[in-house]
Amino acid sequence: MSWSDLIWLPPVMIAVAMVLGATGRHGAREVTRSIVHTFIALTLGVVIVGLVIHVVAQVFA
Amino acid sequence: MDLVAPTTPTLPATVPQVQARRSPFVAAVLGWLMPGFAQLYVGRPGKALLMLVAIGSLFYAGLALTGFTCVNPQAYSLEFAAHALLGGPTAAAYHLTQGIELAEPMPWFEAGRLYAAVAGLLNVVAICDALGDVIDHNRKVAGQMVIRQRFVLEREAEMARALEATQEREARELAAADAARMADETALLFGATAFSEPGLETLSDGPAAETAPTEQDDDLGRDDAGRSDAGRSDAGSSEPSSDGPSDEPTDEGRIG
Repeated sequence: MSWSDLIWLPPVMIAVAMVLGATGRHGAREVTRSIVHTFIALTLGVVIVGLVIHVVAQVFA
Repeated sequence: MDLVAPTTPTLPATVPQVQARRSPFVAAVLGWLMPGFAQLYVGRPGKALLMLVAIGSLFYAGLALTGFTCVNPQAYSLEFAAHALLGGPTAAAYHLTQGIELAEPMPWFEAGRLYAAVAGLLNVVAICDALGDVIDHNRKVAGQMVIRQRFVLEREAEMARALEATQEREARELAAADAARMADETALLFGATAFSEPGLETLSDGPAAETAPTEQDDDLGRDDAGRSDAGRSDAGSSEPSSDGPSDEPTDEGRIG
Protein backbone atom coordinates (compact mmCIF):
# COMPACT_ATOMS: atom_id res chain seq x y z
CA MET A 1 0.00 0.00 0.00
CA SER A 2 1.48 3.28 -1.08
CA TRP A 3 0.26 6.81 -1.67
CA SER A 4 0.19 6.15 -5.37
CA ASP A 5 -2.60 3.68 -4.79
CA LEU A 6 -4.81 6.61 -3.75
CA ILE A 7 -4.27 8.60 -6.89
CA TRP A 8 -7.67 7.56 -8.20
CA LEU A 9 -9.30 9.41 -5.30
CA PRO A 10 -8.71 13.11 -6.18
CA PRO A 11 -10.56 12.97 -9.52
CA VAL A 12 -13.62 11.55 -7.85
CA MET A 13 -13.39 14.04 -5.05
CA ILE A 14 -13.05 16.91 -7.51
CA ALA A 15 -16.04 15.75 -9.52
CA VAL A 16 -18.14 15.20 -6.41
CA ALA A 17 -17.11 18.57 -5.03
CA MET A 18 -17.97 20.28 -8.30
CA VAL A 19 -21.43 18.74 -8.52
CA LEU A 20 -22.35 18.95 -4.86
CA GLY A 21 -20.84 22.41 -4.50
CA ALA A 22 -22.72 23.81 -7.45
CA THR A 23 -26.01 22.28 -6.37
CA GLY A 24 -28.38 24.84 -4.95
CA ARG A 25 -26.03 27.75 -5.62
CA HIS A 26 -26.41 30.59 -8.06
CA GLY A 27 -23.75 32.89 -9.35
CA ALA A 28 -20.19 32.14 -10.37
CA ARG A 29 -18.59 33.48 -7.21
CA GLU A 30 -20.93 31.67 -4.89
CA VAL A 31 -20.60 28.44 -6.85
CA THR A 32 -16.81 28.64 -6.84
CA ARG A 33 -16.69 29.31 -3.14
CA SER A 34 -19.07 26.48 -2.45
CA ILE A 35 -17.03 24.07 -4.60
CA VAL A 36 -13.86 24.98 -2.72
CA HIS A 37 -15.55 24.55 0.64
CA THR A 38 -17.04 21.25 -0.44
CA PHE A 39 -13.72 19.98 -1.69
CA ILE A 40 -12.00 20.97 1.56
CA ALA A 41 -14.69 19.33 3.62
CA LEU A 42 -14.58 16.21 1.47
CA THR A 43 -10.81 16.02 1.70
CA LEU A 44 -10.86 16.43 5.44
CA GLY A 45 -13.54 13.78 5.73
CA VAL A 46 -11.62 11.35 3.55
CA VAL A 47 -8.38 11.99 5.40
CA ILE A 48 -9.99 11.62 8.82
CA VAL A 49 -11.84 8.46 7.84
CA GLY A 50 -8.65 7.11 6.23
CA LEU A 51 -6.64 7.81 9.37
CA VAL A 52 -9.25 6.18 11.55
CA ILE A 53 -9.26 3.12 9.33
CA HIS A 54 -5.46 3.07 9.36
CA VAL A 55 -5.31 3.33 13.15
CA VAL A 56 -7.96 0.67 13.64
CA ALA A 57 -6.12 -1.57 11.22
CA GLN A 58 -2.86 -1.01 13.09
CA VAL A 59 -4.47 -1.70 16.44
CA PHE A 60 -6.25 -4.86 15.42
CA ALA A 61 -3.56 -6.11 13.09
CA MET B 1 -68.41 74.77 -27.97
CA ASP B 2 -66.17 71.92 -29.03
CA LEU B 3 -67.12 68.53 -27.74
CA VAL B 4 -64.50 65.97 -26.77
CA ALA B 5 -64.64 62.89 -28.94
CA PRO B 6 -65.23 59.70 -26.94
CA THR B 7 -61.96 57.93 -26.42
CA THR B 8 -61.39 54.26 -25.62
CA PRO B 9 -58.62 53.90 -23.00
CA THR B 10 -56.15 51.11 -23.70
CA LEU B 11 -53.74 49.22 -21.47
CA PRO B 12 -50.34 50.86 -21.19
CA ALA B 13 -47.35 49.15 -22.67
CA THR B 14 -45.74 48.73 -19.28
CA VAL B 15 -47.63 45.59 -18.35
CA PRO B 16 -45.31 43.31 -16.39
CA GLN B 17 -44.15 40.47 -18.56
CA VAL B 18 -44.54 36.93 -17.29
CA GLN B 19 -41.95 34.29 -18.13
CA ALA B 20 -43.02 30.90 -19.39
CA ARG B 21 -43.41 28.10 -16.91
CA ARG B 22 -40.99 25.19 -17.12
CA SER B 23 -41.89 21.55 -16.85
CA PRO B 24 -40.09 19.49 -14.19
CA PHE B 25 -40.67 16.38 -16.30
CA VAL B 26 -38.93 17.88 -19.31
CA ALA B 27 -36.07 19.02 -17.08
CA ALA B 28 -35.67 15.54 -15.61
CA VAL B 29 -35.73 13.86 -19.02
CA LEU B 30 -33.23 16.31 -20.45
CA GLY B 31 -30.97 15.88 -17.44
CA TRP B 32 -31.22 12.13 -17.76
CA LEU B 33 -30.36 12.22 -21.45
CA MET B 34 -27.28 14.37 -21.00
CA PRO B 35 -25.77 15.84 -17.85
CA GLY B 36 -26.21 19.61 -17.77
CA PHE B 37 -29.09 19.78 -20.23
CA ALA B 38 -31.55 20.23 -17.39
CA GLN B 39 -29.64 23.27 -16.17
CA LEU B 40 -29.57 24.54 -19.74
CA TYR B 41 -33.35 24.11 -19.91
CA VAL B 42 -33.76 26.04 -16.69
CA GLY B 43 -31.60 28.82 -18.05
CA ARG B 44 -28.29 28.32 -16.27
CA PRO B 45 -25.72 27.68 -18.99
CA GLY B 46 -22.73 28.11 -16.69
CA LYS B 47 -23.90 25.50 -14.29
CA ALA B 48 -24.86 23.28 -17.22
CA LEU B 49 -21.32 23.44 -18.53
CA LEU B 50 -19.96 22.71 -15.08
CA MET B 51 -22.18 19.64 -14.70
CA LEU B 52 -21.37 18.44 -18.18
CA VAL B 53 -17.64 18.74 -17.56
CA ALA B 54 -17.69 17.16 -14.11
CA ILE B 55 -20.03 14.27 -14.77
CA GLY B 56 -19.11 13.69 -18.40
CA SER B 57 -15.39 13.66 -17.76
CA LEU B 58 -15.81 11.31 -14.80
CA PHE B 59 -17.94 8.94 -16.87
CA TYR B 60 -15.53 9.05 -19.79
CA ALA B 61 -12.61 8.51 -17.44
CA GLY B 62 -14.38 5.47 -16.06
CA LEU B 63 -14.93 4.13 -19.55
CA ALA B 64 -11.33 4.76 -20.50
CA LEU B 65 -9.92 3.17 -17.38
CA THR B 66 -11.98 0.02 -17.99
CA GLY B 67 -11.15 -0.20 -21.67
CA PHE B 68 -14.74 0.74 -22.56
CA THR B 69 -16.02 -2.50 -21.13
CA CYS B 70 -17.65 -1.38 -17.89
CA VAL B 71 -21.08 -0.69 -19.43
CA ASN B 72 -22.11 -4.29 -19.50
CA PRO B 73 -25.44 -5.21 -17.87
CA GLN B 74 -24.66 -8.92 -17.98
CA ALA B 75 -21.28 -8.66 -16.25
CA TYR B 76 -21.89 -5.67 -13.97
CA SER B 77 -25.61 -5.52 -13.41
CA LEU B 78 -25.50 -3.51 -10.19
CA GLU B 79 -23.16 -0.92 -11.67
CA PHE B 80 -25.28 -0.78 -14.77
CA ALA B 81 -28.15 0.40 -12.58
CA ALA B 82 -25.97 3.35 -11.61
CA HIS B 83 -24.87 3.83 -15.21
CA ALA B 84 -28.51 3.88 -16.30
CA LEU B 85 -29.00 7.05 -14.27
CA LEU B 86 -26.91 8.67 -16.99
CA GLY B 87 -29.18 7.68 -19.85
CA GLY B 88 -27.71 9.19 -22.98
CA PRO B 89 -24.01 8.47 -22.42
CA THR B 90 -24.76 5.01 -21.10
CA ALA B 91 -26.88 4.12 -24.13
CA ALA B 92 -24.22 5.46 -26.45
CA ALA B 93 -21.47 3.57 -24.63
CA TYR B 94 -23.54 0.40 -24.56
CA HIS B 95 -24.13 0.45 -28.31
CA LEU B 96 -20.64 1.60 -29.22
CA THR B 97 -18.67 -0.75 -26.96
CA GLN B 98 -20.51 -4.01 -27.57
CA GLY B 99 -18.19 -6.87 -28.41
CA ILE B 100 -15.09 -5.27 -26.98
CA GLU B 101 -12.93 -7.75 -25.07
CA LEU B 102 -9.97 -6.84 -22.92
CA ALA B 103 -6.80 -8.55 -24.12
CA GLU B 104 -5.13 -7.97 -20.77
CA PRO B 105 -6.41 -6.67 -17.41
CA MET B 106 -6.37 -2.92 -16.98
CA PRO B 107 -4.41 -1.61 -13.94
CA TRP B 108 -7.11 0.87 -12.92
CA PHE B 109 -10.07 -1.22 -13.89
CA GLU B 110 -11.79 -1.07 -10.49
CA ALA B 111 -11.27 2.67 -10.26
CA GLY B 112 -12.81 3.03 -13.70
CA ARG B 113 -15.87 1.07 -12.66
CA LEU B 114 -16.16 3.30 -9.62
CA TYR B 115 -15.82 6.44 -11.73
CA ALA B 116 -18.59 5.43 -14.11
CA ALA B 117 -20.93 4.46 -11.28
CA VAL B 118 -20.25 7.64 -9.34
CA ALA B 119 -20.91 9.66 -12.49
CA GLY B 120 -24.35 8.13 -12.76
CA LEU B 121 -25.11 8.88 -9.13
CA LEU B 122 -23.87 12.43 -9.47
CA ASN B 123 -26.20 12.90 -12.40
CA VAL B 124 -29.11 12.26 -10.04
CA VAL B 125 -27.85 15.11 -7.87
CA ALA B 126 -27.62 17.33 -10.93
CA ILE B 127 -31.18 16.44 -11.97
CA CYS B 128 -32.45 17.20 -8.46
CA ASP B 129 -30.66 20.54 -8.58
CA ALA B 130 -32.35 21.35 -11.89
CA LEU B 131 -35.73 20.33 -10.48
CA GLY B 132 -35.18 22.70 -7.59
CA ASP B 133 -34.39 25.46 -10.03
CA VAL B 134 -37.53 24.62 -12.01
CA ILE B 135 -39.63 24.83 -8.86
CA ASP B 136 -38.07 28.17 -7.94
CA HIS B 137 -38.62 29.44 -11.47
CA ASN B 138 -42.26 28.38 -11.52
CA ARG B 139 -42.79 29.95 -8.12
CA LYS B 140 -41.33 33.18 -9.44
CA VAL B 141 -43.55 32.94 -12.51
CA ALA B 142 -46.58 32.46 -10.28
CA GLY B 143 -45.60 35.59 -8.39
CA GLN B 144 -45.19 37.45 -11.66
CA MET B 145 -48.62 36.27 -12.79
CA VAL B 146 -50.17 37.52 -9.55
CA ILE B 147 -48.42 40.87 -9.96
CA ARG B 148 -49.48 41.09 -13.60
CA GLN B 149 -53.08 40.16 -12.79
CA ARG B 150 -53.17 42.78 -10.05
CA PHE B 151 -51.63 45.31 -12.41
CA VAL B 152 -54.19 44.55 -15.11
CA LEU B 153 -57.08 44.75 -12.64
CA GLU B 154 -55.85 48.08 -11.32
CA ARG B 155 -55.43 49.42 -14.83
CA GLU B 156 -58.88 48.22 -15.81
CA ALA B 157 -60.40 49.91 -12.77
CA GLU B 158 -58.45 53.04 -13.57
CA MET B 159 -59.62 52.96 -17.17
CA ALA B 160 -63.20 52.43 -16.06
CA ARG B 161 -62.93 55.45 -13.78
CA ALA B 162 -61.39 57.51 -16.58
CA LEU B 163 -64.10 56.42 -19.00
CA GLU B 164 -66.79 57.26 -16.49
CA ALA B 165 -65.26 60.68 -15.87
CA THR B 166 -65.03 61.28 -19.60
CA GLN B 167 -68.66 60.33 -20.08
CA GLU B 168 -69.72 62.57 -17.21
CA ARG B 169 -67.71 65.44 -18.66
CA GLU B 170 -69.20 64.88 -22.07
CA ALA B 171 -72.68 64.76 -20.59
CA ARG B 172 -72.04 68.00 -18.73
CA GLU B 173 -70.70 69.64 -21.87
CA LEU B 174 -73.68 68.43 -23.86
CA ALA B 175 -76.07 69.75 -21.23
CA ALA B 176 -74.23 73.07 -21.17
CA ALA B 177 -74.33 73.25 -24.95
CA ASP B 178 -78.06 72.50 -24.95
CA ALA B 179 -78.69 75.11 -22.27
CA ALA B 180 -76.67 77.69 -24.18
CA ARG B 181 -78.48 76.90 -27.41
CA MET B 182 -81.85 77.10 -25.72
CA ALA B 183 -80.88 80.38 -24.12
CA ASP B 184 -79.81 81.74 -27.48
CA GLU B 185 -83.02 80.57 -29.13
CA THR B 186 -85.08 81.99 -26.27
CA ALA B 187 -83.26 85.27 -26.47
CA LEU B 188 -83.76 85.43 -30.21
CA LEU B 189 -87.43 84.51 -29.88
CA PHE B 190 -87.96 86.93 -27.02
CA GLY B 191 -86.20 89.70 -28.84
CA ALA B 192 -88.22 89.12 -31.97
CA THR B 193 -91.42 89.09 -29.98
CA ALA B 194 -90.46 92.20 -28.07
CA PHE B 195 -89.73 94.09 -31.22
CA SER B 196 -92.74 92.73 -33.06
CA GLU B 197 -95.38 93.39 -30.37
CA PRO B 198 -95.85 97.11 -29.81
CA GLY B 199 -97.21 96.75 -26.33
CA LEU B 200 -94.13 95.03 -25.03
CA GLU B 201 -91.81 97.62 -26.41
CA THR B 202 -92.81 100.21 -23.83
CA LEU B 203 -92.35 97.75 -21.04
CA SER B 204 -88.85 96.79 -22.02
CA ASP B 205 -85.89 98.58 -20.58
CA GLY B 206 -84.14 98.68 -23.90
CA PRO B 207 -83.13 101.78 -25.79
CA ALA B 208 -86.47 101.75 -27.60
CA ALA B 209 -88.19 102.83 -24.37
CA GLU B 210 -86.00 105.89 -24.02
CA THR B 211 -86.61 107.22 -27.48
CA ALA B 212 -88.98 110.07 -28.16
CA PRO B 213 -92.61 109.20 -28.62
CA THR B 214 -93.83 108.87 -32.19
CA GLU B 215 -97.25 108.94 -33.74
CA GLN B 216 -97.63 105.30 -33.08
CA ASP B 217 -96.87 105.98 -29.44
CA ASP B 218 -99.51 108.64 -29.39
CA ASP B 219 -102.02 106.20 -30.74
CA LEU B 220 -100.92 103.71 -28.18
CA GLY B 221 -101.27 106.31 -25.46
CA ARG B 222 -104.76 106.93 -26.48
CA ASP B 223 -105.48 103.29 -26.49
CA ASP B 224 -103.96 103.02 -23.03
CA ALA B 225 -106.06 105.95 -21.90
CA GLY B 226 -109.14 104.24 -23.13
CA ARG B 227 -108.09 101.12 -21.37
CA SER B 228 -107.45 103.07 -18.17
CA ASP B 229 -110.81 104.67 -18.42
CA ALA B 230 -112.35 101.31 -18.82
CA GLY B 231 -110.36 100.12 -15.86
CA ARG B 232 -111.48 103.09 -13.87
CA SER B 233 -115.09 102.43 -14.65
CA ASP B 234 -114.54 98.83 -13.70
CA ALA B 235 -112.89 99.94 -10.50
CA GLY B 236 -115.82 102.02 -9.61
CA SER B 237 -118.12 99.11 -9.90
CA SER B 238 -115.92 96.71 -8.03
CA GLU B 239 -112.87 96.79 -5.78
CA PRO B 240 -110.18 99.37 -6.43
CA SER B 241 -107.32 98.57 -8.74
CA SER B 242 -103.95 97.83 -7.32
CA ASP B 243 -102.24 100.15 -9.76
CA GLY B 244 -102.78 103.16 -7.58
CA PRO B 245 -105.37 105.77 -6.64
CA SER B 246 -108.07 106.50 -9.14
CA ASP B 247 -107.32 110.23 -9.26
CA GLU B 248 -103.84 109.61 -10.61
CA PRO B 249 -103.25 111.34 -13.92
CA THR B 250 -103.57 108.98 -16.84
CA ASP B 251 -101.54 108.71 -19.96
CA GLU B 252 -104.22 110.54 -21.82
CA GLY B 253 -103.71 113.60 -19.70
CA ARG B 254 -99.94 113.42 -20.07
CA ILE B 255 -100.12 113.04 -23.79
CA GLY B 256 -102.78 115.71 -24.11
